[in-house]
Amino acid sequence: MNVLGIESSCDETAAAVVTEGGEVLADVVASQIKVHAPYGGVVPELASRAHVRAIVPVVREAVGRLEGGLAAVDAIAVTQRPGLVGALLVGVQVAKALAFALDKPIVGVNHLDGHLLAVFLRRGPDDLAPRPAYPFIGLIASGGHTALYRVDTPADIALLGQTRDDAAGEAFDKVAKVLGLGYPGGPVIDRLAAKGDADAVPGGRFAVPMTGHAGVDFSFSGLKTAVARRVATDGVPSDEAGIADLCAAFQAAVVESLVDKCLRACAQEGVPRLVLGGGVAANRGLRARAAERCAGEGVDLFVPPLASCTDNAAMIAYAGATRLARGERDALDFGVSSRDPERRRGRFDESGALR
Amino acid sequence: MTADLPPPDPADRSPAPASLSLALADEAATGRVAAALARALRPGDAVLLEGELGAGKTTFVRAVARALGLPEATPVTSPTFTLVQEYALDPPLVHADLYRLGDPGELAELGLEERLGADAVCFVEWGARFADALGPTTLTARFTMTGDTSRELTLTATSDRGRALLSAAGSDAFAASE
Repeated sequence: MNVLGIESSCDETAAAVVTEGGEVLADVVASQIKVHAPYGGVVPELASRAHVRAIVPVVREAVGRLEGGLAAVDAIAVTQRPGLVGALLVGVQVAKALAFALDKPIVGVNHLDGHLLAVFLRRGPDDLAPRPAYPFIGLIASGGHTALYRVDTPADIALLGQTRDDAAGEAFDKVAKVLGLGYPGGPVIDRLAAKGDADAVPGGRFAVPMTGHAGVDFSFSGLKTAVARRVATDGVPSDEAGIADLCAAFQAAVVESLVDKCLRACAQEGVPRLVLGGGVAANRGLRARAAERCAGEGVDLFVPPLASCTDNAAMIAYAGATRLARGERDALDFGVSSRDPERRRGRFDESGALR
Repeated sequence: MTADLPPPDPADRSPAPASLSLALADEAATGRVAAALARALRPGDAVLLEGELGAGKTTFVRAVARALGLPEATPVTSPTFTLVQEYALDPPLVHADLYRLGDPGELAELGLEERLGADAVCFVEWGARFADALGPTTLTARFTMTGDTSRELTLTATSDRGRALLSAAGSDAFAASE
């Protein structure tokens, strides 16, 4: 079965074709990020209008790479939530039109389910990396989301904790802005941090957020502010080495907080399998530290390749395939939503207290 | 909640304060001012939030949301990526962030103008670049970092309604929270 996936929840317009087993046959992403945005962090062509322009060429490109073209599409999966409503609607309307015209089944997909299940995508015959068994703990860390989930099956996903303020990727972008490093902030901070020394920063390391907190929620706003304060007081370091040290100190605090909460979730749930997803999972510092700490605690770590971590439609197609495999179909009148449905579970409530 | 706010008295010739500066020692002080402002706000009020990254704009809106009854369990997260977040409170609270917006034409896609001046209380971060496109607002709240946790907050009225709000709230509630 070939599932056409369509994704338009935020800044990327994407289409992909994936088999029910997760084999990626086509994967097309049109990014709206302009690297040299004059106003750091701005996406100049926002949301729906840019999606409207990109969606048909992107879908055509993805289907064109499929042997048999549109006739070889057996079902359609589309991101239905969470995201910008105007942006989601573009993908959903195109998906519905295709499903109606082709008379094929359609399923709406939660974007976050896509990220959590992206680890099962297989990109080419050489992709023989091991996949996790269920249940596993999944971290999604990106510009718009930072949350920990327990995934028992594709149909049974529980939220264990999430950010109380800024997403991890947003903290990277905003610290990069404070340091004048441009947008997006993640890759450039990661590159500089690798050359820097967190202990060489005047004023010392930054406190790791939320370590004293019992639950597995995150918070990155205070860390962002601490960096901004440090820069306001001492100025932006005058040389690249100083900036690299500051990046190393900031990234070390983010990474330690993320890894710490991931391993805490694994321990609490008694689940020794951890999957990283979202754009921040591309961060080399995070990957290295997670590997180190997981090895020390007997947790198996799974990190999908970059193309599966960042927003893409292959993960949507695969998550849709798991719904279709359960016999689920959506009627053509389903809507979109800006929010993830409430699905908080686990041993700790939002205040960090034991349930 | 609008009962504490006296209607403007046409006979009162004394100039209403156009601006109010408050020294906030820490996040708790910020929370008290936010709560006082929340009590004084009416549906239709719109507050522009200004201040550099980390100055406390989202923190302030979180405190307003809590004061309007949003349970601790519901996080008030940064709207930088989602652009607009709405909380079903009384009155409804709209929290927008135009940081990522490129040009005023994109405002229309956010559906923000349907909420500004309507039944909701709107807080807009990074809105100064779009002041013309946003239309009439009530107040501008500018945050300046004066220390690790201390902030200076300057509230400036941008309409008659804003001046009335400042003169009512400035004399008692805000003063008491300093």
